[in-house]
Amino acid sequence: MDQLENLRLELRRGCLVLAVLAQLQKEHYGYTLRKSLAESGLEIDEGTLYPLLRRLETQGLLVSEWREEDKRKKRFYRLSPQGAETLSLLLAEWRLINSSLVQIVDANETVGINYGTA
Amino acid sequence: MELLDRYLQAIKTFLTGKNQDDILLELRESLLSQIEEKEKVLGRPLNPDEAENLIRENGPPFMVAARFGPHRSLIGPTLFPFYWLALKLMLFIALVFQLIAASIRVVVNSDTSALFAIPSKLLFEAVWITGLFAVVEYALSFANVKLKPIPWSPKSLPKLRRDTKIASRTESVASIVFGLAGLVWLRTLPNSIFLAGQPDLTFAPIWSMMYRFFIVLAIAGVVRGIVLLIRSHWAAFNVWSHLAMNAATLVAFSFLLHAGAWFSVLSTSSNRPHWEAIAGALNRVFYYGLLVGVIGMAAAVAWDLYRCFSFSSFPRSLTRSTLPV
Repeated sequence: MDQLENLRLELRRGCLVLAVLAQLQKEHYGYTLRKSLAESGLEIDEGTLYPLLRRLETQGLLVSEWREEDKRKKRFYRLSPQGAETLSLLLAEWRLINSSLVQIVDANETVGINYGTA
Repeated sequence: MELLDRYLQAIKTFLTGKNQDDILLELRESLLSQIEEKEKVLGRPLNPDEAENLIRENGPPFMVAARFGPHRSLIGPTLFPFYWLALKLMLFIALVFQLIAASIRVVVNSDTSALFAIPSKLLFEAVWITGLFAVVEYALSFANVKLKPIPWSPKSLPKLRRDTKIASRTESVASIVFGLAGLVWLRTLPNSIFLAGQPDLTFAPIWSMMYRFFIVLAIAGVVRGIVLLIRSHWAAFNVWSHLAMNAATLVAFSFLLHAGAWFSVLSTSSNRPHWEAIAGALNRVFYYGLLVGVIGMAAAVAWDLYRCFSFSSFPRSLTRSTLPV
């Protein structure tokens, strides 16, 4: 079970980066970003999101600024030009992987291999 | 919300790196947003139990802080907070014991070498603690063991500490005044003040060796006072410079103590036995004075280290008075 959990986390990790970058084409602060991801079906806890945002900003993919909204200071993040470029490259890569994977799974299912419904 | 501030204060204890205050501000905003949302759903403010549950769900402070740490290959993010805490605690305890042991050796044997051996002994402590945690990390990853979440209660979080490191104006002015007085005394008056009326006595050679060191120390005291007068909120500078000054004074006192004699009789003295008796009495009094000085400075250095390493105060920027809530 631990092994499955590790593999699942590994699979999610890369996708989360992609999802966060994609979502930050529009400006968000941490809390609204998390909510918008959750509304799209991708739950992410604060403990993962905030360190991820900082890491992506350190890598130059995001830019952020503190601004006041509703009488509270909030840190707003958005994609940097470098981040936008990286996102389009990653999305192209992800589409390629996805189509390859679909092709492999479909080909196997036609010869009778069943993957179940999980 | 005091519980929230206590939670953030506890997280700060485990954070490393220079962005600590920024991380805490963002966490605070996130927690306030969560509270706000729950209150909107409930249509009323959260009661203390609900607020406590919300904070508990965010995880124990060391786990929250660990997620913000850089990627480490030797000791992973789960173990790192324990390692960091153990390292700070062990180094502090080792330092206190080493300082006490070294002070005793200085006092009993006039042996100052133990003082200079302290850094290498502390390095050894750090190496073995790091090695121990690296072995545990390796064993856990080899056995594919995941540590279970530790049950914790926000109620057990330590109480708030506020701005204990901000320099007071009086302290800064005193540092400048005493530093300048020391400089004036060192540059112009030492013989006439201490040895007035004692024409056959002189200072022992150790004083000329230590003279420049004391001049530098006095200048450093004045500079520190001026900096803190202008930038009283430089909390880190305040405690670290205090530690540096006290450590330098401890070294100076130890050297002086090691010398054994601080006043001697001039070779031109006409009544040598009489003046040697006076010099002997002065040296005995001075010895006990220095002894108290060495012990006092060792205690002061230990206290400064305690303030510097283990128990950082809550940042000023996070107190309710300065944050929009």
